Parts: sequence; structure tokens; C-alpha cells
Amino acid sequence: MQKLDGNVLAGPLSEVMTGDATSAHARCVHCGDVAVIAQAVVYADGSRFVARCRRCDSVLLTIVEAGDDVRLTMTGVTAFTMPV
Amino acid sequence: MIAHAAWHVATVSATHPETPSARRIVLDIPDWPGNLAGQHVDVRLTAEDGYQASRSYSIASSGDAPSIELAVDRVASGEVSPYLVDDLMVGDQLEVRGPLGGWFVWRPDPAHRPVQLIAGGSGVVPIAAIVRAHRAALDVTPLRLLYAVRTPDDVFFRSELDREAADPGPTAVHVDYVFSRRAPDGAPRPAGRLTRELLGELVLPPQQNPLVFVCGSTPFVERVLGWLKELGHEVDDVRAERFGGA
Ligand SMILES: Cc1cc2nc3c(=O)[nH]c(=O)nc-3n(C[C@H](O)[C@H](O)[C@H](O)COP(=O)(O)OP(=O)(O)OC[C@H]3O[C@@H](n4cnc5c(N)ncnc54)[C@H](O)[C@@H]3O)c2cc1C
Ligand SMILES: [Zn+2]
Repeated sequence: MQKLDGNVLAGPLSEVMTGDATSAHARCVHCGDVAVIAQAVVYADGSRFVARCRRCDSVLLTIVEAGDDVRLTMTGVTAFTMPV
Repeated sequence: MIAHAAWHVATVSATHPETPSARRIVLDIPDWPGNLAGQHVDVRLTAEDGYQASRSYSIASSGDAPSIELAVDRVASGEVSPYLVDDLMVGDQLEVRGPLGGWFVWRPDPAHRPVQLIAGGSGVVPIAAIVRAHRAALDVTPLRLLYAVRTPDDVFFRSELDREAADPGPTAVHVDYVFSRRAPDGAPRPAGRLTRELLGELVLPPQQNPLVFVCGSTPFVERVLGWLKELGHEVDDVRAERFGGA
């Protein structure tokens, strides 16, 4: 497992959203910290990614790429705001 | 505007040794939409039995050309990087997803906000794209680069960085090296690891309100982020990209 940051999510997230989702702001539902997705702490295991809050370490979202499927679970963020 | 990311078929058009452990790889991608300085791609390899592995690699080039340049360092016993550095040949094809990322990017800046670039090892790849984009645009934004690297032989983009150092003009990027294992003759300081004191000496101070880009292995980036905070830089003025590694 590699410790990375939200920049690495740009590829997987591009499969489910148009535009660069790593530049989106989001609020951690646990501690209220507002950051761009690129600033999250990300643990990567092959094509499975878990993004955690840079401040309180709660899980923000998980994304799994398996073949042609991408599964995104966004349980820990709110006010997800994409730049247009 | 950031071009939409998609999978592309890329053909290796050239390779050059970059350092004893790294290689520069030029990929031709006929339908490439162009990319900004600092963006990356995901490279996907598929084995004959269908097994796939993908890794992210920063793009050392930027602009509209239908080709991109990567520079890959060999991680001993890694799954993907030894193949890219040692086995990939001109004419081979790869799948590439991109252009990716919109936060760790730099565009020529009409406001000329000063920029401090901090690179560790192969973390200089997206930073080199920024240095080249700054030169190509004849942008007068002050850029300063701190490059931490083991020895002079391990320096990536030597000719590009030497060109900046040799240019007396006001737009040249000021480059400082910190050699951890061996410094060249005449270096301003002996070999040694980057410390908080040295960082404080060699980076633009918070009073100049620089935008700071930090890229390298995860431990390098995290050490530097901690020191920048202690030196008074606001966390949201610092953009980091972690390449991984223990
Ligand atoms: C956004 C992004 C951009 C990147 N850009 C570049 C780039 O331009 N050039 C480049 O060479 N690499 C870059 N990387 C790193 C690259 O994605 C791979 O992680 C690296 O090539 C190792 O892959 P591997 O399959 O050979 O090793 P793996 O099989 O994934 O790892 C094998 C072992 O090596 C360790 N390891 C993994 N990565 C590193 C590392 N970087 N340093 C030290 N040890 C490591 C792991 O902990 C593991 O134990 C980038 C990473 C990210 C997230
Ligand atoms: Zn939080």
C-alpha cells in the first residue's frame, strides 16, 4: 500500500466526472475542514484508493477501478464543489 | 480550460538515458488534446494473460503538440518502472489516460505571483514542465527552484536547468541544488541532507507570498511540508504531489 495524495485520483475520477475533480473543494463531514480533493491523503493499493481528510484522517471517499468498472463511494464529504 | 481526460494509444518514439537509473520516454499520441505544465498521465500495461497494472507519471512537457515526454526512475523490484526504464522499446505501444490533474499545475501568470519550486529526486519531472513552460512563455514571474538530489549524476533535466543557470536575464529560474550524498567540485556547500535551516535559506520567504510547489517521494514531501509550515507558509499556499515510496 502506497501513501499518496489526491492528485493520483485524477485518472479514476475522470471516469465518473467530467472536468478535473481533484480541483473540486469538499468539506469533511467529520471535522468540517474544507480542502481540494488533491490535498487529501490517499492510500493506494493497486487500483483501490481510499482518500482521508488531511486534518482528522476520516475517510472522505473510496474509489475502485476494476477492468472497465469504476466504483465511487463518497460517504465522508459534503458540499462537493467543482470549478467550471 | 483543462482538456477532457481519456484513454489514448501512445507509441514510443524515442528514449534517452536520463540518469544511471532513469530514462526519458517520448510518446506520440495522435489524438492528444495537449496538456498543462504539472499534469500527469496514468500508464496502463496489459500482459499477454490479460493482467493489467497502471501507474501515474508526470508529464515533463506541456502545450498542444501530439506528443508527451515522461521521465521514469527505476524503483528496484517495482512492477512497472523497471519495465519502462529497461525494456520498453521505440515502436512499442502503451495505453495512456490523460491529461490528468488541475491543481498541481502552473500557467503563465499575468499577476506574476512569485513561485517557489521544491523537488526531490524524480519529483522534478512536473517541476521541469513548469520551468520549461515559464521559459516558453517568456513569462517574467519570478521562479526559484530548490532541487534535492543524491549526486550530480542523478540530476534530471540537466541541460534545461543549466540553461536557466547560465541565463543572466531577469526571467531565468534561479536553481539551488542540495546534494545529499556527493556534491560537485565548487558546490556552494558540502553534500548533506536537506534541513529546515537550509530550506529556510533557499526558499522564498512567506513575506513574498510565493505559491509553493513541492514534489517527490512521500517522505520527502511530508518533511518539506512540515518545515514550510514551521517557516510560516500557509498550507493552502503550498501545492504538493506525493510520488509514493516508503
Ligand atoms: C501523480 C504521480 C506522478 C508520478 N510521476 C512520476 C514520474 O514522473 N516519474 C517517476 O519515476 N515516478 C513517478 N511516480 C511514481 C510512479 O507512479 C510509481 O509509483 C513508480 O514508478 C513505482 O512503480 P513500480 O510499479 O515500479 O513499483 P511498485 O511495484 O508499485 O512498488 C514496489 C516497491 O517500491 C516502493 N516504491 C514505490 N514507489 C516508490 C518511489 N517513488 N520511490 C521509492 N520507492 C517506491 C513501494 O513502496 C513498494 O514497496 C508518480 C506517482 C504519482 C502518484
Ligand atoms: Zn476531517
